[in-house]
Amino acid sequence: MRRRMYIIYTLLLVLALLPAPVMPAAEAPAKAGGPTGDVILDTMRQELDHSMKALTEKVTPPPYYISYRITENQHFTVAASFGALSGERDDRTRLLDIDMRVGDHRLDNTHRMRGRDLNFAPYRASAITIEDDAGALKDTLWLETDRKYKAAAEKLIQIKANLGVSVEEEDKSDDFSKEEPARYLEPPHKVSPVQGLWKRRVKEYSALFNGYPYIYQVNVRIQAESVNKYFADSEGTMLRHGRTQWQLWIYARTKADDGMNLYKLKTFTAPRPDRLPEDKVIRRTIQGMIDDLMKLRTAPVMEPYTGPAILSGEAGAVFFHEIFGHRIEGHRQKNEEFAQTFTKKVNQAILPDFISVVDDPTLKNFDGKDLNGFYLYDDEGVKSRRITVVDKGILKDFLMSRSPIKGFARSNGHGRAQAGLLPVSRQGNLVISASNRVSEKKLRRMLIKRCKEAGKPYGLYFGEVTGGFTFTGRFTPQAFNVNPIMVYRVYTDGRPDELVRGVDLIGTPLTSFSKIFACGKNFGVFNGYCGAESGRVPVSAVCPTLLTEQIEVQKSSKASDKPPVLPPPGDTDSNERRKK
Amino acid sequence: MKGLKKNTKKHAASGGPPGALRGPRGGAPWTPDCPTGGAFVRSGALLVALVMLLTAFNLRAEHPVVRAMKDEMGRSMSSLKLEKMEKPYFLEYTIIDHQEWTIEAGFGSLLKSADSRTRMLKTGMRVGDYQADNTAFLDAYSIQDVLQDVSYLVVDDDYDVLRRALWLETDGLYKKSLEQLAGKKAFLRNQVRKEELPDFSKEKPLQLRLPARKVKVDADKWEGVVKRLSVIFKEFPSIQVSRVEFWASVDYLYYVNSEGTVTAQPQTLAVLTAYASSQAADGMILKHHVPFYAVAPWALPGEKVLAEEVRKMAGELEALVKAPVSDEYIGPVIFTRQAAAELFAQMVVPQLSGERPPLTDMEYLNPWIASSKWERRLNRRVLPEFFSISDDPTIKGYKGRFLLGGYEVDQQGVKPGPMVLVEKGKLKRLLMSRRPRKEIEHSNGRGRAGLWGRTVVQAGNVLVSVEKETSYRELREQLLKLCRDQQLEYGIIIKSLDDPQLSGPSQGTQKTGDASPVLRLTGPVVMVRVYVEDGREELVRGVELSDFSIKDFRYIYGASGDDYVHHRMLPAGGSLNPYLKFSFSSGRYYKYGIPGSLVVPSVLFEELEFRRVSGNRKRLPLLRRPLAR
Repeated sequence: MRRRMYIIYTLLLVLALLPAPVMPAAEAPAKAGGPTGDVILDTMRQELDHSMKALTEKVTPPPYYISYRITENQHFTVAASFGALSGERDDRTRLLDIDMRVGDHRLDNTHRMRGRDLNFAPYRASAITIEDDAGALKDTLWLETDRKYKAAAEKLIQIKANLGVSVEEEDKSDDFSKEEPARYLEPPHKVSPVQGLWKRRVKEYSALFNGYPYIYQVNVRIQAESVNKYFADSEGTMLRHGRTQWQLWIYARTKADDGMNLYKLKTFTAPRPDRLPEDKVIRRTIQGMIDDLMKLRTAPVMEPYTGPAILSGEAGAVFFHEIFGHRIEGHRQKNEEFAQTFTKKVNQAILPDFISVVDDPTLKNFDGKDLNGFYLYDDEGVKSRRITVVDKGILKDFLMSRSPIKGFARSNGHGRAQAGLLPVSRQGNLVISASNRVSEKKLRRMLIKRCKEAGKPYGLYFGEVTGGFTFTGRFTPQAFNVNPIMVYRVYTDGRPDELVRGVDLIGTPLTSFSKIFACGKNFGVFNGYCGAESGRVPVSAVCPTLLTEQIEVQKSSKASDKPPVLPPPGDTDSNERRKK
Repeated sequence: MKGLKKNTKKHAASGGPPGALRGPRGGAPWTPDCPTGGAFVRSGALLVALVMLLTAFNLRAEHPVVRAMKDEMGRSMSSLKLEKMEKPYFLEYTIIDHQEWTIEAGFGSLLKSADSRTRMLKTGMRVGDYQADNTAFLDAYSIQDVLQDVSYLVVDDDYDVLRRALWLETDGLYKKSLEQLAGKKAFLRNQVRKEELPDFSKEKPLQLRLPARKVKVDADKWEGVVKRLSVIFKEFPSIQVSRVEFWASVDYLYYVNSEGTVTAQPQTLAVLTAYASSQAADGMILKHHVPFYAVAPWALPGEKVLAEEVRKMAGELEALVKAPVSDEYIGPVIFTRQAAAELFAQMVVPQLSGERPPLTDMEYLNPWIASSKWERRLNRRVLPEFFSISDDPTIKGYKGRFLLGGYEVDQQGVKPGPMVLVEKGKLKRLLMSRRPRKEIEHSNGRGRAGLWGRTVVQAGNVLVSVEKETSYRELREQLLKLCRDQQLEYGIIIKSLDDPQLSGPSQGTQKTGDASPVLRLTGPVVMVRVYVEDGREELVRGVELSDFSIKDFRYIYGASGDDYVHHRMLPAGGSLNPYLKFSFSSGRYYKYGIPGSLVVPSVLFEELEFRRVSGNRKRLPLLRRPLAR
């Protein structure tokens, strides 16, 4: 290993001495670790090789693995409220993350210490130059490598002491898996500023909420974003990949007369602006949001309920992501502080036998809809793979990062993180499929039948939900909360469905999944961002409509503030009435 | 570099949003430079017509922001009332049109270049009456939501949307204020009170509209300057971290209150800072910085001067790395130049505030509540007799040097005047906002605010003068004489003190600012031993003052009137709470403080005590710097 590094290092030195003509990416030898013609990647490679070699000579214990990850982000955002521009922003950052490992694959400085509260590293990414300046890049890499090495060496000593005083661990698998080096270079992704058409549209869309005095808050935002990830590690992996994304965000809030805050949130995401929905579709969506908000204001408050329910595909997708998906993330099986629901259930039935679940980050779209959880390489430089997690109800596999667990020694390309945090296994595109799907109409008849059998006057239909997925800012708290917005009572006596508000999900919802007994023909796609210990990552979930035997809801706690004392300023009628 | 070009970068900004102060037909009712050409003046009739026209403009052309503020305020004051509850007796809105540019570079390469434009709203409400209202009371409830002090408005001048936002903000605040009032009344019922002081002073309404300041910020140009300045550190290989940062802001502040005060004024600022840190061979981390302040980017020193100063700072830091660690020391000390200014800024200026602390039912908060250590010393001696201190926000310069702390009207709509605070060593007056204290009923126009957070009492231009005609050379002689008398080998001169807000995040060895309840001076940066034997100066490091307090100032031994001019951001209330001593020393938020200047002498203390700097020391970098390979 050391010898190979040395050869590469020498080769690089020779190449560095050559004048400008660097080989273009396409013609570069597919040899791991060789130069790419990209200033950032090649500088990372040089500094990485130098650090590995020099640290190995100089210090004990030496690092056995180093990776550099640079995340380049560019945003253009335009926001408006009630037809007026509320903000414009552009931002460009490059953040550096270093994975420094001291010890060996079996036991290293990332090993979890038991009895310690703060096991994961706090958020810390170093800003690195936003220019392609080798000197400045190297200087930051050097100083951060030094800092990381010292911290890692110190941590390893603590870990060894902790192991010495603790009882034996249940899962004695390694700390770091062995993977093949990869090499993949996409052309850098770029977005252009939001101008003209979309800037005008954002204002126009937000103006559609004018004239509705009860809509208190409106925020329409368009964001064009490009992400380029540069990755190099001491095993020879060299990656440059990323994506562009356009995202339209429409939010409106009102208050019921009892003070309950009610909101609607619609988001559209696409890799290019021309892939966003047509103008008239968006306008129709907004009108729908307004209608829903008006209906919600006067809708009855939901009483506690336990019984059958239908979850729309979109709602089912969120539920599966939050309640099921997080439990099949590999690193959670190793950590004794987690519930480890599925740790010992491999090859056992955990879902009804007609349901299968895969996580497939390589899937670009589903039913013509772009999927937000698409990626080719994860943040540990491992190629993403389609994983069958549950096959016909039987648990088969976990989503794996390079942190092995008992029985699963390799990564399957699910190690993901926001810049500044250490990757852990995360979901990409979670796709739920069912073998016995029935028409939506039949599903509804089945719901009513079940309700009647159970002696319930009504069942529930969950239309829209938001929650752990919401498009919050990058540094907002990452608490997740499945938040149903549009929930209807479906009456057994033929009365029309009734919208209710203030629904909160409780109980151990996992049992809700074992009680799924039918699925609908329609699929729902939810695109969003998921927040967990490794930060905010783009994800998608796809799910058919679900009929479950039992779901438990309670009244949500409402804001205590009364609605505004005075009518809105523009509402002259009510102002006049008030005066009289 | 091409990919970095931004469409929004190059544009001039007037203090308000573009065209903010224009009337509908292009007239400029708020600006003094109205188009009164000579030809018109000759004809009386035309002049009258013109005056009438302008008046009509004035009525009709009131800026939509001000109109929205006034209208919604009027409606709230007349009809905002919950059943069986009190109405507000006072309401104030501050709207700040804020634009800022940030450029950061290290090692000749950009780390950041960003600009933003926002409009902020601060709302203040008082329920009860001038004698006893809901304010100045800290309980668990009010601590919780102080973070909501500022909200963001649309940047378009859209009357309807602005009014709507004001309506909701006012409504929310009304409900909060009622709860605060109830909480405060309940608390007071259980207290034995010694004095009944009014909560709010009555002041005359004021109308003052100042034109926006036209400031051009050429981001491309400053990117170049900042990058070139940051290259300088390449000449100093022992420096580990270095940054050069440029920051400019162009603000226009609208203030309207329910007593009839309407003010509008510009505030602009440009700051360029270089900071660096390194490690001595023993692992001690050393930091240094040099800041430049101006009212606008054009007023910053030329690039040549900037480069010289940055190079000087880097050179001093490199010398510090090699400098010996000082022994612990008890003896005479001179503070001169930046060190003297920071000494007064950190230790003395806070004592000039007459801010009366709030009531609180959380006793553990008391040590964190800022209050002047001189507040009970009115008409008593606080400094030696040869010292006087005044604060004068009405001046823009001092002996040809510009001052940063000038303003026409404070954030409560009160005009400041020059004030002598300490006269011949005796404390004569205190700086006041509209919260009265026992001896002082009225505001003297010192209610100031940072970009975020509420109004606090803060100085503007602090002038420290000494009567004695002593030169710095004579002061240095005095130091040496004191050393001889005490049979010391050397004395100490401190030339600069750390400012953690400017010198980058602390790395563990140097003390950071004023975040603790105990008043503490920041550590020395450039400090020399001056030897009795031959008067030579030797740079030393690694000691800091111990047991130093404001009481030591009464025994200042000597001073020399050098009139060193120093600019800095004075602490704002912080968005956490206006009453809590909370400075943003952890982040680089100094920019959102309150601009001020100090003019100070050098001062000599007869005896101060130094101890070794503690803190853990990391090993030096294991590998050689890329630059040096």
